[in-house]
Amino acid sequence: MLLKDICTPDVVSCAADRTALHAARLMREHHVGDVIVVEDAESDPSPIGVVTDRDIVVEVLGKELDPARVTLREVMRTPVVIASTCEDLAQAVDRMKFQGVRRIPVVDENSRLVGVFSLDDLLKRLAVEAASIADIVAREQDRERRMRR
Amino acid sequence: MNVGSICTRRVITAHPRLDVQTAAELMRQEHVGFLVVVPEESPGPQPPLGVMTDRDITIAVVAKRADPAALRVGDVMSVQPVLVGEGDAIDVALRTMRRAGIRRVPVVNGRGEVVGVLSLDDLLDFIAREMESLSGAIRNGRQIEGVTRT
Repeated sequence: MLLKDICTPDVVSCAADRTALHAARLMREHHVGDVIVVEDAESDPSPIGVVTDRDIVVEVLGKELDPARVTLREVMRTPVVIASTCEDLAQAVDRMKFQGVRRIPVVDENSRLVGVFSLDDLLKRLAVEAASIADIVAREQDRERRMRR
Repeated sequence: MNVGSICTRRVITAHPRLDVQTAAELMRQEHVGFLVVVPEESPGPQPPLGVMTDRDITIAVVAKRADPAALRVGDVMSVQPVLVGEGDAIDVALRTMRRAGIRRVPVVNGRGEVVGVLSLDDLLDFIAREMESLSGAIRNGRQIEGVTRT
């Protein structure tokens, strides 16, 4: 399973010179908990950092800074842990585990941001797989009942 | 297994008159993203009035350009929070959280006082351990048969 088949293409990105206030508005508007920071949305859309809703509370308000003045460059978490579309799922999950991150931006072969992969995506997938395994058990009993009368 | 055996016992509380600015500093200091709002400032067992997350602050205060020093926790918190009992079975808690669509809930004792927080992370940890026991039993079964049935 490659990341391009499982990652979420709806990703909210924002240029590094925009403010924390702008990022908070994006989070509110798009119902997401994080924004991927890029150098420039048009000319250089490769991820350089991540800012979460928690970062805005802890790194901005928690330090008594003004969200309308602080730029994302100042509060974003770097270096960003990224994954590539053609990477195997297990490889990416290993790296997330090692780095202790819940979400990673996914980039194409030109380092352009194309999606995000989160532990929530992984969890949904694992749940489907576990349900399939349980279903095999149920079907096997059913099959034996029919075949061995 | 019940909720009390897997939940986090460390609860950071705030009272409704606390300003949001100080609440944000509290979240920073205590490394939490979830405050349980209780009636009194004093420590000791109290019933939960509401809950407030770091996300609530970003979405309801920062994004709206409201002044965090002027707003109170009581203005921003979610009231009538969904609760689970420490004696509840885990599947009961799962159903409650699923119905409400929330990742974190305060855990209360028989007197309705907050004694912990149950999160999706605690539940995942529990299920992962059960899965590990399951595959461990399969591995051991194979090994034991290898030794006993030569």
